[in-house]
Amino acid sequence: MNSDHQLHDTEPLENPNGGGLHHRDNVTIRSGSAGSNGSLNHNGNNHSSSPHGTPTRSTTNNKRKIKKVGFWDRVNHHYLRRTTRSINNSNYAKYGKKKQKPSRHNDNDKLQTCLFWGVVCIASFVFGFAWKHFPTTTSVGNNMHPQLRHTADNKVPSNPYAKLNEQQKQHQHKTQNYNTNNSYNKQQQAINSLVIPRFDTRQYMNSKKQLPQSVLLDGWNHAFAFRSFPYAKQTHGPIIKNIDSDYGGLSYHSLRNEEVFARVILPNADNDTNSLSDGDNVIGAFDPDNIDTTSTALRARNRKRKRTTGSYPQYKSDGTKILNDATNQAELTSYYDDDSVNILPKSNDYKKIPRACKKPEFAYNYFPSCNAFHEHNLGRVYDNPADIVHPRPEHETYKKYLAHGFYRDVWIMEDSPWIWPQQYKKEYTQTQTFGVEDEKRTNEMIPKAYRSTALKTFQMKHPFSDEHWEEVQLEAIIMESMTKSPRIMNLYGHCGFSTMVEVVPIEFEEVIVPGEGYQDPDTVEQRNKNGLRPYNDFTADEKLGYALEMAESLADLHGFDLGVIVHDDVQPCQWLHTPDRKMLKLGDFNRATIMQWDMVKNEYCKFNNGPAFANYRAPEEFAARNLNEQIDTWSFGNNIYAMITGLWNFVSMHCVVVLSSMSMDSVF
Amino acid sequence: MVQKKLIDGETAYIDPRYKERSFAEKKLIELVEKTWIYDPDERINMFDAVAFLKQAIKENEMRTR
Repeated sequence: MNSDHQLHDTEPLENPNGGGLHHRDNVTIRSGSAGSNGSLNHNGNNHSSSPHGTPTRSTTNNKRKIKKVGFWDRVNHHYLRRTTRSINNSNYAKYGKKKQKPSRHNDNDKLQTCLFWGVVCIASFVFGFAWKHFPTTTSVGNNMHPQLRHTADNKVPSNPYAKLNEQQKQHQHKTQNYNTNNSYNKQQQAINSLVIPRFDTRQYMNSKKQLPQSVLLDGWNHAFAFRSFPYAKQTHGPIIKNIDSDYGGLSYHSLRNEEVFARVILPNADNDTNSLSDGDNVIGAFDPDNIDTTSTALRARNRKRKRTTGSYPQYKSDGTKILNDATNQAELTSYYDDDSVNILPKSNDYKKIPRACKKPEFAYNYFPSCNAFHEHNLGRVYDNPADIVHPRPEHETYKKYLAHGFYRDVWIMEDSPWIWPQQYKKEYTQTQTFGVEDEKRTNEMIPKAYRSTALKTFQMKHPFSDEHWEEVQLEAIIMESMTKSPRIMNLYGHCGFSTMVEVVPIEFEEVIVPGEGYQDPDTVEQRNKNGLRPYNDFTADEKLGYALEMAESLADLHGFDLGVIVHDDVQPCQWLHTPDRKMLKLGDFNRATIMQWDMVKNEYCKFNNGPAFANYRAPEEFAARNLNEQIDTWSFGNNIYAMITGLWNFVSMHCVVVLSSMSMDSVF
Repeated sequence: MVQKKLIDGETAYIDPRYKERSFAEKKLIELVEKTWIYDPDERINMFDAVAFLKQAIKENEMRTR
């Protein structure tokens, strides 16, 4: 078809030799003919010869022509063939219309096209990927960030702050004027004016004016990271992460407030003399060169002083704070960044003055160890080697259950008797009477006491909570710190919920108050009709001596060097006799409290114990008032009363909860 | 209730005949009365109690001799 058009274009509009008819005929005939023949005929002026030859040829070519198969023809053909095949398929009857058996021959074309397009897709993807990630140099230059481009081109940016000569300035001015015409040069100029400084952390910190800088981490994760127990309460405020730029280290602190990085808090070191100047006591405030002696300045300074004198904190000459009754609770919390200090809203006897109660150091600087527990062989028989080979039932174990209190079980753990053969020989020679309920057991325990310890374990039925753990730990701390006192039981080991103490085997309460201890007043009067007959067998001198021993052990607690310890549960059963019956020893510090020191008022912080039961407690404890160590003194008076009469005070009154039971169990 | 009685300021009854029974018991009852003072600030403290008892023991020994 194209060849025909070429012919028409090259043909002259007017034929000088031939007529118009010839020409028209030629055109009509040629329309269906092949190109090469037509062009040959057209060259010469032989009109007669050429019209006869060409029409016959062209007609024969038209008949022979095979239709070219285009893309859509192919698609239609393919589609039609498929449909016809599917209709004529022999499987149609077999499977039905919906269940055609897929013929492989049909899908071949589809497979080919799929493969083709798939390959095209993969190739384009790969090419695009390569284009993006392995770019040529030209593409990089166009796509890069303008700030970074000069590095890629190895051009050093000109520093606008540098001092230039006049010539250079003029030159720059000219070039700038010249360059403004070009948009590319405009960009380049903007880039060159940019200065990218090296990021200096020290400079950054200084710009913040906080050294060290503090970052608040108040998130969920950090709150959980510092919780040890499942029931632990969060005692601290938001956790602050200190970045010490000088040393480059990170340190975590659980601080209540941001401002307490150091105990010594300096006032603002401004040059302004009018700010916070309270005489020479303030560091850095007194600068004679900067004092403005004009009257207006002095007046302003005095006005500021009036405002600031009433407000706290004030500072000593060394920069430490002065704390007064007027000190805020918030100021106290910010000042005492210490877990050993409790800030409370009210001071002793519920006065509306905030106080900061600090634990004495021995109350929290105790690090318990389980070493003594590991020294004991809990799994093996301590016995003669011959007995291990042929074990006797009575020698099977030397860990024997002794008694139990409300929270804990007590076990006697005996060491091997073969270590002390001389003493072991004497062991079974003693038989005494002690005036105790269980004479046999005490007689058994006394000879073994030198080689045995009492193991107190927590009962499983109670929750292993932090409160109980603290109670056990407190007992261990007190016993440990009071080891120098001979009137208080010794501690051998402390491990979690269990403690190991010395065996003090002889009961004392049963001697003081034999029997129940509660009687009707009438029966007591009848008994005392013909002269006083106390219920116990003490002589008057013995009573005095035992009273002194009890008082001394309590005085040891109250007069401890490092801080007052309150026993808080004074009753006759807490004292036990040593095996040689020469000394009374005080034990059981479950309820004990180590008194805290008020840092503001410089006195001991009183404490509260919650509701109290039993009838041997002080009235202020029943009234739920603030308590101090004097509650022990009241209860000590009860002990003397019991020693004098052999009965409990308030003889006829059975208390609702009688904690003072009649056996050794209550000791533990 | 014992608790109510104690809060109201009542203390346990001590037979006055104990004071005449012996010097030691007389002294002990004196001490008990000092420890059962309602106001904890006026109440005798443990150190004074120890001193009191030591003095009492001394005097008791002197008497028995």
